[in-house]
Amino acid sequence: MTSLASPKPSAPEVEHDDLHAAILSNSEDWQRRSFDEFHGLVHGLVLKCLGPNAETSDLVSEVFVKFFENAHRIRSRGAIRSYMVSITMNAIRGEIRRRKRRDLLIRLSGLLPELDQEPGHDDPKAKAALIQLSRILEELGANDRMAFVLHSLEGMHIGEIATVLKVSESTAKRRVRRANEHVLKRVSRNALLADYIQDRGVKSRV
Amino acid sequence: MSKPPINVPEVGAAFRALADEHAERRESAVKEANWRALQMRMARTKVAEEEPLFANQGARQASSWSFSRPSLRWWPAIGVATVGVAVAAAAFLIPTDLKYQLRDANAVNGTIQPNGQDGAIDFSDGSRIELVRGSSLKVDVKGAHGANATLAAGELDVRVRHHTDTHYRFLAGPYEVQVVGTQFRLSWQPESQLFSVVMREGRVRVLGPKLDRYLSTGEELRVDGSRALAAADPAPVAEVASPSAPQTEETKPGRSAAELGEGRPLGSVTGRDALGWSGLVSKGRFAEVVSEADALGLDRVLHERGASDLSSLAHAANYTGRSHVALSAWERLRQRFPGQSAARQAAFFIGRVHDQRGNQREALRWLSTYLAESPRDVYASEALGRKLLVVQKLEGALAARRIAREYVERFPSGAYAPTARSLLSNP
Repeated sequence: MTSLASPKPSAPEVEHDDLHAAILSNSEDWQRRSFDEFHGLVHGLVLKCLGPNAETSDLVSEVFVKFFENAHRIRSRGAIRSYMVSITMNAIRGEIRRRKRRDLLIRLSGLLPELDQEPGHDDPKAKAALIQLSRILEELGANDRMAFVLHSLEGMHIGEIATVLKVSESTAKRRVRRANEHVLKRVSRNALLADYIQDRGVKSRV
Repeated sequence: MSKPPINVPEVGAAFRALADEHAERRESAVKEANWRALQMRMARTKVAEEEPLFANQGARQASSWSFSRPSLRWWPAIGVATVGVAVAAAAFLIPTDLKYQLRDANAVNGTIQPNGQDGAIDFSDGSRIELVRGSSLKVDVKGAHGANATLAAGELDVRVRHHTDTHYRFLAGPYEVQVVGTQFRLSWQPESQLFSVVMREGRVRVLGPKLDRYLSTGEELRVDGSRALAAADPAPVAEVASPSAPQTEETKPGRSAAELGEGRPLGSVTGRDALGWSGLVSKGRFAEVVSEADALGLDRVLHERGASDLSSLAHAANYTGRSHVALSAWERLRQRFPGQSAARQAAFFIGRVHDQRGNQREALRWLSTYLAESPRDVYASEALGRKLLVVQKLEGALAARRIAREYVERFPSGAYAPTARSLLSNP
């Protein structure tokens, strides 16, 4: 049985008072302000869910276009962030499905595989670890993968994850547990990853 | 000493640290490029919405319907329709992503190179890229009508077939060419840092270090990046040549496209100029736009510049407190480019300036004009809200109630909704 306890404190609930007022009053710079506020979040979620090689531009655009279209419907200023996470996860889910179709096409037609660019990481061991962890995540289905990212990487609580993914808390809990079990099993069998994580754990405890 | 067993929090912490570091590093590098891509995408969406095609109108209507809740009596019909759509969708289970075939070219580790002579890539949407001998290209398909093509070195002849969702991006060193549908020749020599685009048909957007400009049919852009590296100012040196007979509205025959469209004399220009007025406005450099217009002569600018520059000048003048210049630019924009989106929106901006100046009658006239011409445009909510307040001031609460009712019906969560509701509940 894997633990569901999150090692990362959940992000503090930011009210975004000014931004909400700017959106409602259709202030001239509200789109740029929203972009500055949430680009890091959206970009990070895309990379964590789709891997370090992901081409983020189109997905980030897709998310912000959706946000710009509907932001004025957000009634609560505290709901801006969760709405942003929600539409980001929807976009990522769509991209995962598109990738699956594309992979199928590639297998059927023998066309070229996707370009493989390595993430720019100075520490080669860290680089290898990131790539291998990402590959393990890619083995998960879209739902479990998103649940894992939101819980273990973004530090969100089960209730928040359920809200963002529009599922019940028990479903969110089940997905997180299933993803955790899979990731733990695969990491334990991977000597490089296991060493890297254990060394890292020892260093952090010293 | 044996190591303790791994647990999930440790895995999560390690993954999070790695991913956060990687994401933060990449974010700083891609943020502005993502903003530009987003603006480009929004501009394309806007153009597509304005095209008077039945298909687009239907799509837009469907989009607006998606937010309304159908009444219960429609559910059986919706159920039947859903089954029909599901059956139809079954026919499309085969992936619809863009496909391509190589002609006289080979792909090794994702890099496509011609076989000795010139080669080509034929795409399933009818687009075609011809590779000059010695060129090296990578292609990453993006959906049914889009691809990212990275030119490592060499020369391409590109023909992109236009569809409503076409989006091709050509990356060459630090430069990017964004395409919706067009023909052009792209060249990139990494050793000499020479980049060029020669337009044959259509219009593209070229982005790069301190460079953001559009090119139309017949125009040619050459950038010498090595001169930029040698100079104290890192701006690349760009040269724009215009066609002998330009075809776009903003580049009429007998005038240079560079002179009319981008606000500079024909010939060699620096990276600051390469931004264009719209680029300067987007970076908040309003005073530079206004002073350049002053230097060129305001009358000449108002008579000769394209719609984009007039719009940029108007906003820049408005932001720098020269509202009379802003009003002149917007009014001239409406006279010279009637029917264009920017011209229709100019009515709203003119109305807003008059409102801010206290000219309520003029404000009412222009806001009403805008709402009549563009009832569903992006500023419709703001325009109707302002009109509500203006009518209340000019004609009293009773007259304003009709507008308040319309506002609440159309924009129930809009910024002026509380005011409108208050007006309706307190006759």
